[in-house]
Amino acid sequence: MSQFGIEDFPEILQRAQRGDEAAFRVIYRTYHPGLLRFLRSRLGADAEDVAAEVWVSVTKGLSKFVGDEIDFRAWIFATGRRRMIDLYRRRAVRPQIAQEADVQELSGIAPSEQLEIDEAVAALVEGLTEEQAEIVLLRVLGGFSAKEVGDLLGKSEASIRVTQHRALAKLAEHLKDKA
Amino acid sequence: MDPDEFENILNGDSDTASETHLARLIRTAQAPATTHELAAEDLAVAAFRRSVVLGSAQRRRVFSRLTPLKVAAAAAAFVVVGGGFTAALTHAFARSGATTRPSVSPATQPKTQPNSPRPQIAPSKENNGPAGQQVPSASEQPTNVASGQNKSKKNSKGKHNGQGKGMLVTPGQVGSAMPTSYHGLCLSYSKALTDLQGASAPTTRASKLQTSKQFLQLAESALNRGMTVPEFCSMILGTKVPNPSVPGFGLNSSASTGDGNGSGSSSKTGGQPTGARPGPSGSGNNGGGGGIVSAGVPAKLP
Repeated sequence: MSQFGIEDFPEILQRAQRGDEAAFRVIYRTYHPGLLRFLRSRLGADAEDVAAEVWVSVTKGLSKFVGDEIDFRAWIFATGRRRMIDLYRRRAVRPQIAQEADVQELSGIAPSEQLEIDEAVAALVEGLTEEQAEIVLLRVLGGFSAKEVGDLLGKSEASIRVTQHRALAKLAEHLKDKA
Repeated sequence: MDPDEFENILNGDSDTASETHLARLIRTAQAPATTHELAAEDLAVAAFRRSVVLGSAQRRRVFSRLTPLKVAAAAAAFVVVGGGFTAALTHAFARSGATTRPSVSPATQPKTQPNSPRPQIAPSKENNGPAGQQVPSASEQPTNVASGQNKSKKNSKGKHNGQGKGMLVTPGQVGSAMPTSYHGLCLSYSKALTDLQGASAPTTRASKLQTSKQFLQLAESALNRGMTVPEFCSMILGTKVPNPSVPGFGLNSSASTGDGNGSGSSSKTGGQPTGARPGPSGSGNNGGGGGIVSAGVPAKLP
């Protein structure tokens, strides 16, 4: 879990709430990559814009935030999900899982390591349903437990576990076939 | 693959060969941030900086918006508390004045009760002398006015000098400055006059009233203001008090030329000054007038 959170989160949050830019940079560098990868896999090219909107919302509400590190992470991803759903409605399109072909488009002139990450994320949700993909991504990229994912999506922990199990089994089969 | 193994993979704890590929994918997806991903960091920090500045400015605005409200609330509280205190004080003074006044003689009252709301009358010779001119009784006997200094009746044409000179209280100040005991006296006086209008003989109430010390004091105050008692009481009560000098009043059929402020001369009717109300002594005289009032000053009943 340490790769998702900040060890001295309360202090960093407090400093950021007082207007410390360095503390805000720590928060941004910690949570932005996972959020951006999550949004990229769901939205494609619009992910950057939606992520920027999320951070604008975070900066506005940061001073009033009360909670621990998990709450903060959940707040960021929940905001991202809401923005994503808003974009779906605006575009009147259904969410689509990024295909392998889109990875090149997403990465643009990204370095090879970025390309590798984008490919890995795309492979993680390949062949999964929308619900399965979201659960897997929230668990992998967001670092949430099954219960926390259930809280985010408004489902029970057991339901999340079942869906997640089916998704990973399907993914394992798919990877075996590829291998 | 059981759920626990999947949990281990998701948590990065799996090292079995079968999960290697999936685990590798997950680890790759969870890789640290790249420079490409953090390209927009400065934009986010700029947004953060702006929100901090805006937030502090907003707080200042909210504070400055609240300041007038706070001032207004403080002022309102001050007014309410101060008003209540003043009202309580005024009420206390009015009560003390009403209760203590009857026991104090008019002569000593201004000295003994300097804080009393009773109208203070500056001493002047003119106030004392001619006051008696307004109170000649029908029987040509000196009336027992409160001043007690009206011995001469020859100045029937003399100016009444008590009209407002030296008075500290103007008619507009009646409500706040007049002794509350005057109010009751005037009420009684008005009732007595009303009774007399329909009575053929002076009532006991009227007799008692006009012989009382307080009523004499009231009459003196009226005289000092150059008014008749009815006018004076009308001013205090805010309603018109029947004037016995008006023709048609039950007991008085004689005309009155008294203008109430003492400035006019008294004309004689039948050898009697008409500036005074008929009020002859003796009940049953002239229709039983009883002489409750004469030109604003009570004439003593026999």
